[in-house]
Amino acid sequence: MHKVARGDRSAFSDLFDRYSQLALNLASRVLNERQEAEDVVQEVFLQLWRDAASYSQERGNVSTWIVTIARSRAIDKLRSRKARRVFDFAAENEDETDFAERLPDPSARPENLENRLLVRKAFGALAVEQRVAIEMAYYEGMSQSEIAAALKEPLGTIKTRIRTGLMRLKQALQPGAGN
Amino acid sequence: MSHEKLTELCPIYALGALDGEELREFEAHLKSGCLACQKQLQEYASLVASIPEALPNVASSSDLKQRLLARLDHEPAQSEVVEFRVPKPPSAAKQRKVGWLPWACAAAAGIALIISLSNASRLHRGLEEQQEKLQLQIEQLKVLQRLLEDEKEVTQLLSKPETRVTMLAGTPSSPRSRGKVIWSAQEKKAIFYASNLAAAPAGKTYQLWIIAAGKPFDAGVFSVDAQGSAFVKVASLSEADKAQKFAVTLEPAGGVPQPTGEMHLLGSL
Repeated sequence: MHKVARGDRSAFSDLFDRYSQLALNLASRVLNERQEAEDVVQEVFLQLWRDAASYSQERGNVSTWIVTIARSRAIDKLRSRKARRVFDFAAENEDETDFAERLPDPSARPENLENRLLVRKAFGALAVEQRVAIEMAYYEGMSQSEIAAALKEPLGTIKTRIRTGLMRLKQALQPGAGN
Repeated sequence: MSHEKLTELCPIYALGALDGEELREFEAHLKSGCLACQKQLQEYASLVASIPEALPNVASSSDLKQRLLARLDHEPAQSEVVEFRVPKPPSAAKQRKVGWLPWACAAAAGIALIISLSNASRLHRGLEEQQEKLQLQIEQLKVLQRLLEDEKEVTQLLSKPETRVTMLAGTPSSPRSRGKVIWSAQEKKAIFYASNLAAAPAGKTYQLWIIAAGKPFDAGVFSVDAQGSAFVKVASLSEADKAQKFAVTLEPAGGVPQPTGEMHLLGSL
C-alpha cells in the first residue's frame, strides 16, 4: 500500500490482480449485472488509488478494506436501482452500509478466513434459513425488519437466524476449527 | 437495554441489518466506550468481510484492468511527502537581541532530527515492503493450497466405490442446459457441475435441490459465470440416502426453503 500511495503503478497492478476477482464476485452477486459489477470494481480501485496514502493497517487488512468498500458501493447501486423502481427501502433505513469502515481493527482476522474453501464449506453447512437471512442482509442490503417482512416471519425469528448463523460461521472459521 | 441484550445485537449490526431503535441504542452504547462490544464487533466485522469468499469466480471483461489503468492518468495518487517545517525566523527586532549560537544549535538539532527521521522512515518503508512481498507470497501459496484441496476433494469423492453420478437434462425452460451431480449418500457430499445456463435475472438465483422421499431439500444456491457454467460443492447433502432426483430451479435471491420458481434442470437416479 505504501508503494501505491507513492504512485507506484506496478504495485497497484499487483493489488488489482490479487483482489479484483473477489471484489467482482461480490459486486456481481449483489447486482447480478456484469457491467455494473465491473463499474463497482473500477470505482473501488480508483478509491484505493486516491486514498492509499490515508490507508492505515489499523482499519483492517487490505482485503477487508476492499471487500467493505465494494459491498458498500454495490449495495448503493442496488438501492438506487430499487429506488428507480419505486421499491425504496433505503429512505426509511438510513445508510449504515459503511459500518465496518468506521471500525478500527480487524487486523485480528484469522489467516484461516483467507481460505475460500473453508468459508464455502462453513457457509454451506448452515441451515438454509440462516443462510438466506444472512445473504439477504449482506448481498441485498436488507435490514432485519425488511427481511422479516419479505419472508413473512416474526422479527425475532430473523434476528435469531442471523445471530445463530454468524455464530456458527465464527466457530467454524476459528483457527484450529476442524476441516 | 441490558448489556447482554446489546451484545446479542453485535452480529446483526456487523452484518448491517440492525435498524430502528435498536440501531440507535447499539450505536450509542458503542460510543459510550464499551470495549467488550467493540472487540466483539471487530471480530464479527472481519467475519462478515469473509462472506464473499464463498462466492464462485465470475468472468470479467478482458480489458477491465486496462480501462482502469487508463483512468489513473486522470487520478494522481496522493503524495505521501511529509513536510518538516522550519520555524520562521523571528522579527528583525528580536533577531538583533539574540546571538548566533542558539540559532546554530537549533539548526544543527533540526538537521540531525531530519536526518534521523528520514533514515527511520526509509528503514520502516523497507521493512514494510518486505512484509508486503512476503504476504503476497503467502497468499499465492494459499491459493495453490486451496486449488489442491479442491482437486483432492473431487478425486477422493470419485474414488469412493459408493459414489454415484446423476446426469441432469435441461427442461423446456433451458433446453440446452446440462448438469451433473457426483454424490455419495454415505459421505453426504456432492459436487455439482452445470453448463449452458442463462445468467439469473436481477434478484434471482439458481438453487439446487435433492428430491428424497418425494420431498425437495435445499442443496445450495449458486450463480453461473459468463459462459453459463457453475461448479458447486455441497458439504452436507440432506436426505442423501433417500435421494430420488436432483433439480435446479430459479428462485428469489438468497434461495428459499421450498422451491417456488421455474425448473431448469432435472435428473432422476
